[in-house]
Amino acid sequence: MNVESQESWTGLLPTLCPETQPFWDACNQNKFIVQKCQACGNPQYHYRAFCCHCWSEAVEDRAIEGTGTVWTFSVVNRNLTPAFASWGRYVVGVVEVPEGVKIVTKIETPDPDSVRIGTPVRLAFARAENGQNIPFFRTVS
Amino acid sequence: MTGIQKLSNVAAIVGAYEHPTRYAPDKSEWQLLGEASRGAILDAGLSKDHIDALFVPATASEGGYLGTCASVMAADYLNLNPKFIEETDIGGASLGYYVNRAIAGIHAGLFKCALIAYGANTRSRKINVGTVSYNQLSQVELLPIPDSFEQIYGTTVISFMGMLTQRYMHDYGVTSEQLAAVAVTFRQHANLNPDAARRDLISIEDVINSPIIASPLHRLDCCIVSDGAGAIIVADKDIVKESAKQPVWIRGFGESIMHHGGGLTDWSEETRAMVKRACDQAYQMSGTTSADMDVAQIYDAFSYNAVIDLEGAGFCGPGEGAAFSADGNLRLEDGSIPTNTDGGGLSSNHPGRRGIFLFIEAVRQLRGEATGRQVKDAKVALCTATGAAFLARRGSAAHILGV
Repeated sequence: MNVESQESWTGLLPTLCPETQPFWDACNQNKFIVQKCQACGNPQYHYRAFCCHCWSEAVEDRAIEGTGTVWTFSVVNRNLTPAFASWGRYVVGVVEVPEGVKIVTKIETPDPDSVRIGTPVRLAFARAENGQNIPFFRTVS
Repeated sequence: MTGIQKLSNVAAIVGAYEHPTRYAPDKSEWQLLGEASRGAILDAGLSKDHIDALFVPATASEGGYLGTCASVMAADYLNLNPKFIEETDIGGASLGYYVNRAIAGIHAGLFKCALIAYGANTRSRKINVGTVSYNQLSQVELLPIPDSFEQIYGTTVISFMGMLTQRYMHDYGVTSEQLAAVAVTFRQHANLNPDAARRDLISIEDVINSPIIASPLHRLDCCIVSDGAGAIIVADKDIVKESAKQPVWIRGFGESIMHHGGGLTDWSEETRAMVKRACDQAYQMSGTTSADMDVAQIYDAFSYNAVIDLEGAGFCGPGEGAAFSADGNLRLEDGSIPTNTDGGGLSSNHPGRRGIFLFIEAVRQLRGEATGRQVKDAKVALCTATGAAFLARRGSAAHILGV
């Protein structure tokens, strides 16, 4: 694992529940979990207590390497929700990771207009005020 | 008849009413619902007492007042005593799903006369449907699953559709100018519809020069936000005999959903595949193909939706929908498949769940009542609607209507 140093997270915070607690706890160790089913071999994201593909409970928590590419994205010029007021123009997207899943995420970039489908990105974390680490992806310069 | 063909022509739309308002700050959402319901039953030449099934969506998820237990709350407000109620929620496609469930219930002998109704004052209440986080729209805490893995990143309705449109344009080399032709064409149709919210003609340049809300979507690629209401009466053969106007038979129907598939789904390809599954069932049930359609009403929350539904419905191949639109195929006067003849959600009416209006405009066209914008000799219509729960958790409904 080689994630970038932490910055602060502004915006909405996740609501945790017992089922998803392990994912968010792993984030606090700078790890992003994509589960792999030991029964059917398929990966899954988001986190669940079982494999959604075959309903086996034999799912293994695996930290991803942290690389990926932009599968699609949108530069958001307008989000009136107050929690995002400080974000300015920002990029939401779907990142495809070599572990085999698509991940909805924020794509941090110095230049929103430079993002393209296929742009390489890397996992990063930001720390929220409540101490929770939030994962996102950053364009590779 | 065996298989799904037995559901063809089980029921007809015998009444339809689109409220003329697009801005009604002086009326509650419930009053609009009531006025639309009364309009539809009067159009059918029937009375309130005929109604024995009620289908009404909750609107609270886009900022309305009708929330939990919407259909029984609406039954109370309208003082109806239906034998069957339904409020399946798949966003704007919900109204199409109600038609399917009404036919299933009529075929099963559970009821004979269904009221399907919708009303909302989304515009006068200044609800920013497309430009806020979903949880603000629905006024609920972020769910642990799946919201907390997605909405924290600032996703909005328009940015989600932007992501879908972006991938589609990338995969097929589609341009913003080609997509803009959809909005331009539907505005030409709205120009002929005195009730349409936006009637001034626009050009490709107007669309391209309108502000980008969430790339690659310009403001004019996005539907309007209006107040509005509409209702239809779906009835069995006995009620058809009692009704006043020419029945519009539901020749075939289909539906299909899609979702994230544990992170494996190709949202873009699956969107078209979902529409195709819904349309194929409707074609199979009715014994028709896309070539038999005289007119189409497609839920155009965004220009992309119209394009992908044209592809899924088989009017053109994958990736060809935008060029198909830009070539004039959707035009009322000379297109191969006149589409959204009322101006659609992009120009006429979009309070949030436009599905009901597709049926109403199709009924007008098939009855020959679409004054000023009538497709000549229209006998068969296709309606397709896709609605969303959140991100790529979506459902499509397809209907073949005929006279």
